[in-house]
Amino acid sequence: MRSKMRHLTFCSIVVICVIGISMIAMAKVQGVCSDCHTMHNSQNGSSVATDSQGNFVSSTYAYLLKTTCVGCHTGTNVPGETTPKVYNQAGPLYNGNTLAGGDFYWVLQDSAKGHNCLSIPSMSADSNLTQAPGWHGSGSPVNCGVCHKAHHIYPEGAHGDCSSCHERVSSCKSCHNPAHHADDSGPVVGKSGGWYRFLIASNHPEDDLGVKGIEDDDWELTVSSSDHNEYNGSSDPSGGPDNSMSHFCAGCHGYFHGIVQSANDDGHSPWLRHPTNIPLPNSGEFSSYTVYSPMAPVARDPGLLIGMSGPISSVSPGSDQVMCLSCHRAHGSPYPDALRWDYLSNCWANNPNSGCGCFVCHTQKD
Amino acid sequence: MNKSMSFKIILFVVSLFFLVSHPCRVWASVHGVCSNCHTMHNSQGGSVVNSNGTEENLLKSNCVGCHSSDAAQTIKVIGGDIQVPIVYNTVEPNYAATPTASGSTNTLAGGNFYWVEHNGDQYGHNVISHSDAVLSEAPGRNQGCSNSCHYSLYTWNYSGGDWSYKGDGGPGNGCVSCHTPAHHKRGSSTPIADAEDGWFRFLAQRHGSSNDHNIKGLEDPDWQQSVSPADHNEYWDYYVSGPNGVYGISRFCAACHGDFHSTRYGPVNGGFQSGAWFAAPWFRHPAGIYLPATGETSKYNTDGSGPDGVPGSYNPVAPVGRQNIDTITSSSATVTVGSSGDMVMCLSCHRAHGSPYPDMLRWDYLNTCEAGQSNANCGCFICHTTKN
Repeated sequence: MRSKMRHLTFCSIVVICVIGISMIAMAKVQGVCSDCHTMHNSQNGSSVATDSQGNFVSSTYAYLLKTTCVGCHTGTNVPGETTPKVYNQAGPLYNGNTLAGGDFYWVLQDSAKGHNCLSIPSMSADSNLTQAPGWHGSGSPVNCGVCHKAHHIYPEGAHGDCSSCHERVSSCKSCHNPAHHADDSGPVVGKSGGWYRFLIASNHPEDDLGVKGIEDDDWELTVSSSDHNEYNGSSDPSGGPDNSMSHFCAGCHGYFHGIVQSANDDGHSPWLRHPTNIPLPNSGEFSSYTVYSPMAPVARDPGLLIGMSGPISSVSPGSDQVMCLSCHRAHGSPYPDALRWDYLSNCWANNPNSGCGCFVCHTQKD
Repeated sequence: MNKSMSFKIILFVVSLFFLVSHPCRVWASVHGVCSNCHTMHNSQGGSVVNSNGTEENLLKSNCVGCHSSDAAQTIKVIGGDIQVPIVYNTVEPNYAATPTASGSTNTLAGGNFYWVEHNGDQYGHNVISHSDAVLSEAPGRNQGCSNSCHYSLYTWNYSGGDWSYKGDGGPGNGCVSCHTPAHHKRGSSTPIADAEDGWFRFLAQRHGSSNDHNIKGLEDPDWQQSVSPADHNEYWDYYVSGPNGVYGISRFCAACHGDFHSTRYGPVNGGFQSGAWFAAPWFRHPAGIYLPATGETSKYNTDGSGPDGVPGSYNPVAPVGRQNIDTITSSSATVTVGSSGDMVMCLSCHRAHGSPYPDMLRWDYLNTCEAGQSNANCGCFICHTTKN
């Protein structure tokens, strides 16, 4: 009996450690320094650094990195992998080996299918758009003052060519400011963790511009109603930046955001553009969205998110919010406008289709 | 009978069953891809989708934009198979004197705004592009709420609730004075378009919480582009003895034309004699009143030579309303008269949107209606069977 008890205790400790480690396995980068860095870009008389396509180059990279963002994050996602891949040159399998942000593969095929991140090899600027759709520029109803506060002064730390980011994505760093060594064990990842998915513009590192959230440990390679990212919503959709996911997107797509696009400027229907950062109404067809759907995810009220220890499988209309990512992938998808689902083929009014994310919220339109 | 023949017969019977049992559910609610009608951000390929700006409910166009056509066809198809009824053709549609023929350019049941836009203010409701130059307010108006849709559809203005946006009048915004669009509503419990369907042709009030101003009815699947005694809308009408009670389509019209409604405001405004509120002599043509069981009108759509109380079949030239709308499952050629029978209503004589004739009448009142002169194109004679 004593032997059995010891065995059980040992097993329990192992299980606890495994679970505990798995929850924080991706907390911050691990492994030998040489996995990612080269001190002098020289090893045995040859270069170590490679470009985004894996070709050895004599040039060096900042922070002594061996390659670029894309160089490291290119490939096929497989279970257990520690580096999330955002660009699969061979062609990813959507919702099979793609992650929460989608994949840039499709953008190379068609500019309309994602963000034209110029860091991706052979990626060219969007052939259709000269600037981010919904880019607010200056003027009413959205103006610089919304983010830049009074007097339109630039935030501390801001530098560079504003239009290069605000008007169109130029590189990975338009949206991400890498901080792989920050402790993002969370559960809610904020400033101390380098922000959720490092989402803070590299040229714009003001604290209230970063995004908070809970990071799924495999970036949603496996995903379900109880296994997913958690995104931060907003307490004031028309206020200044507040670490919410949709406010971050509004940095470039301001007119597609907030309550300025409701007919009565009151943040309620009738809407003139699809709302973001707005709680799902706890009435009508929306009240039926009660189980979290990774197809059309919601953001959590910031007061709720801050107390969460992990993903929640339920949805609470009246509290949880529709956000940009409820409908769009951040990087790219097989569908126009980087939509999460096949809007043009699957979304027919009065025709139930589990492949249409619109119907996740608009439960009476199918 | 071989197996193949048996199978074909069974298939035919089953198909017939579904057609008969679901005659009016085909277009019960909008269907098709969302992008046919909606734009999420009014932005596509770096360009706006709607050059006029954003629309409420993320629509790509306003009511008139969707329900108008530069051709004469009165039903257009979008998204492959979605039928859109046209209420404003910029090319004159066909207005048959006796609207029984089928044709793709036939004016629909509500008429068309073509004539009020091209021929003059008297040919329809001024909804789309300009206010009425002759009338300063709706004829027969007795409701308050100045500068509201009770006075003029064109100057639609309701400052309450969610409807203040674009609510101060303007081109193309008058539709919502009468209609509360609910294209996604669909019911299945009855063939009648009622609350679960967004009401008959979306004829529902703009304010207030009760449903008693809203209109029930049976919606013809092709909006009466083809029409016959047994192929038409079925309208609900009812008479009441005072300002409160059950409503009907005529009372919906009375919201702006109250003095012309026989029982809604008649006793107050001298519409008829006190103590005999449902019978002649009338001071204004009755509306919302049942066809009497005796006299010429009890012989609706006959030559008037038959016995009292024996009407002919339903005539779409001068349609009647039904009191028993909830029991109706399909359009009927049968007309009944008497206190529980069918009703003369505003729409018995008028088109809701417009017609080629003054006062948006359904027929050419000035040229075809001569006493003692039979004329099948005069709708008056359908009820007044001994006047021709």
